[in-house]
Amino acid sequence: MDRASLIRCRDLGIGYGRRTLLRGLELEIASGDFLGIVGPNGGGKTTLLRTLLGLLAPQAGTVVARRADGGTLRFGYVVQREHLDRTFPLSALDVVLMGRYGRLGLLRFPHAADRRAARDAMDRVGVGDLAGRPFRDLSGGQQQRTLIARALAGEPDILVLDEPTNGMDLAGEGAVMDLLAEINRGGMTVLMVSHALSTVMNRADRLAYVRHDRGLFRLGPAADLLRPEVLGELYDTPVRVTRIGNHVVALRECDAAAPGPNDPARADGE
Amino acid sequence: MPGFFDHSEIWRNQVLAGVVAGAVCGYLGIWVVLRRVVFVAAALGELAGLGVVTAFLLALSYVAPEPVHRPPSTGTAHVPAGVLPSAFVAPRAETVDSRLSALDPPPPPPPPPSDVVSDDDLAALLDQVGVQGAGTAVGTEAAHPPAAGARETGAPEAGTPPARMTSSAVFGADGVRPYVPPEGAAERDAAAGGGPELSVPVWLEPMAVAVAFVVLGAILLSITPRYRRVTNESVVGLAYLVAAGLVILVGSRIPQGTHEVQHVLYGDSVSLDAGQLYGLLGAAAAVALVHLLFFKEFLFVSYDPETARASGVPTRAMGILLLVSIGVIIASASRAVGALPVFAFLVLPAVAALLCTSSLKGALALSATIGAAASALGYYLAWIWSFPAGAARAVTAAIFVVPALLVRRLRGN
Repeated sequence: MDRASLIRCRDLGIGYGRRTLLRGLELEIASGDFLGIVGPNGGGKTTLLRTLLGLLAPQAGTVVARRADGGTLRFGYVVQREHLDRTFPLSALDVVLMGRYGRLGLLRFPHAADRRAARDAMDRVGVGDLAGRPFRDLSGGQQQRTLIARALAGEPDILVLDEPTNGMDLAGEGAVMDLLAEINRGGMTVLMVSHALSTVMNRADRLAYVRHDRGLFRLGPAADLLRPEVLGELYDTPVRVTRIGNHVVALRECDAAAPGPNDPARADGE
Repeated sequence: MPGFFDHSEIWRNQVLAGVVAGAVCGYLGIWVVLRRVVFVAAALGELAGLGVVTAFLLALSYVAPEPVHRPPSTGTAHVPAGVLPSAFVAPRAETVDSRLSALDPPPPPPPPPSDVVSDDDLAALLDQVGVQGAGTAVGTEAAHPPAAGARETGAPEAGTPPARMTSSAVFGADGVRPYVPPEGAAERDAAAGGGPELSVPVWLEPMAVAVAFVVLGAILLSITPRYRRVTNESVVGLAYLVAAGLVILVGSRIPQGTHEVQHVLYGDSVSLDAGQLYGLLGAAAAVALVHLLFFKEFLFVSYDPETARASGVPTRAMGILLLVSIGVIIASASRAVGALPVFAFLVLPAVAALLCTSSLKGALALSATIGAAASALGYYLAWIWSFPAGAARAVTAAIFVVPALLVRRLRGN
């Protein structure tokens, strides 16, 4: 089935101020995609994301973000939660309700239907029972789910997440990624930025590698890009790609070869 | 409480203005504290003060064709007698002692007009044109100390010029009586060439100029570009220091301005004329309407500007509007109750409220309540203990933080 294109970039140049990070990018995101943007820290991932969101103007080329019916694309943006101020005395429901504000527009007040939509979104991501709790008192995983609920409450066309698993433990990270995969299976387009390749590569259909200091931008199906030579170029170190069940695992070649701290051979050597 | 409730006609406007300023500033203080723009609020307060002194300077230039100079070393001023319209000065000048002075025997005949007058002469001159007590702040030292016993009895002793008493000796003492215009004051106004018929344009009214300065400052501070090598606090500090310095520099060019500026900065006036009260009420109503209409946008852009922008909220316009609304209240409330208590109300009630509650709406309501209560209580304490009203209000607002800390500790962090 031919899926509708939501975002189309042509000959795109991205950067801040007078500083251009990357140019000549060609990118298309279709309805139902799960695209992961990965790369090293400071590689230009967030700059690309902010350009796609319209928060930064393109330095060259064009970004067209349109719904299939020609209407303006509605983003459900999940910002890095470290950027949120913990001094604000807001309940989880207050935070989720903000997801409706852009949809409401100026000079219109949230009504019962908006509160209902916010609560539905919280139920959908499994934090419905936390509505009255102060947002700042929630765990990292609960906060992340609440922010995803906020993005979903606005009934977006595309869910955009910036490093959603930062600072989370293994279980929390896995739960958030499972949730995103489930949301994507429900038909929602997902665009996610992460510096942690292992977090994204087993969930996303397509990957985009970004590394501006090498002028590197690679886009393609995850299976095509999860190859040692591509990852080695991206991370500037030899990488071994292996499989555990259905999951792909990438390790630095030196780490894969070296004995681990609990390796019996290493213990004998000591 | 010597004489406080017997003389509500003196303090009614001032207390009402203080309560309104305290409540509105308390509400806005939540935004100031949460948005971390306390220094911006301080800078806007200085800009309001700069607007006031600039208005005075421009008004003097407007009504006095010759340039006005005030050599600091001499303490005298070149100012035509009665040159400043009383409407321009009187609101700040009506202190308790000025009202008392009006009830004493008629003053001696006015001296012949002079181009060079001392501050004392000027005050006496202004007394004669109906602007008694100009520049006499509550709690400030006047030229002649009160006679012994005046404080206790509240009645000036024989031979002590009432208008020159230490204000603190009068403030709160028994026998405070309402202001009665001196007999023939209007005629003397006309004869002196000052008074109501010497009008200045509306745009030179100090509150209007202060609002203009603050709005301009709020816009400039909102759109200041970010520099990698300079923190935003440094830019705000620059604005604060320039404004504070200019207040002093411009104030030094206003002959009778020193005390007026002190009134504005420290909020020492005992009473307030109805016009300024209405000005403050109008500004408060306008700001309340703006916040009612744009509350959700203000919340969104304050909490998470990036997501707000990605959602289509005009973040820059909303940020400017919020800061301008804060600036308008700073300007109008500073003119009515003084910059020091206004700054205190913008910070301290919010701190207390945020310590006590985990709900934004609860914090907004509690902060407004604390601001209003601190203003009224501070004024009352200033009256009964003869303190400067502005400082008393600021300290009272600070006292509210103590129980809030206890509440926070009892609830755990």
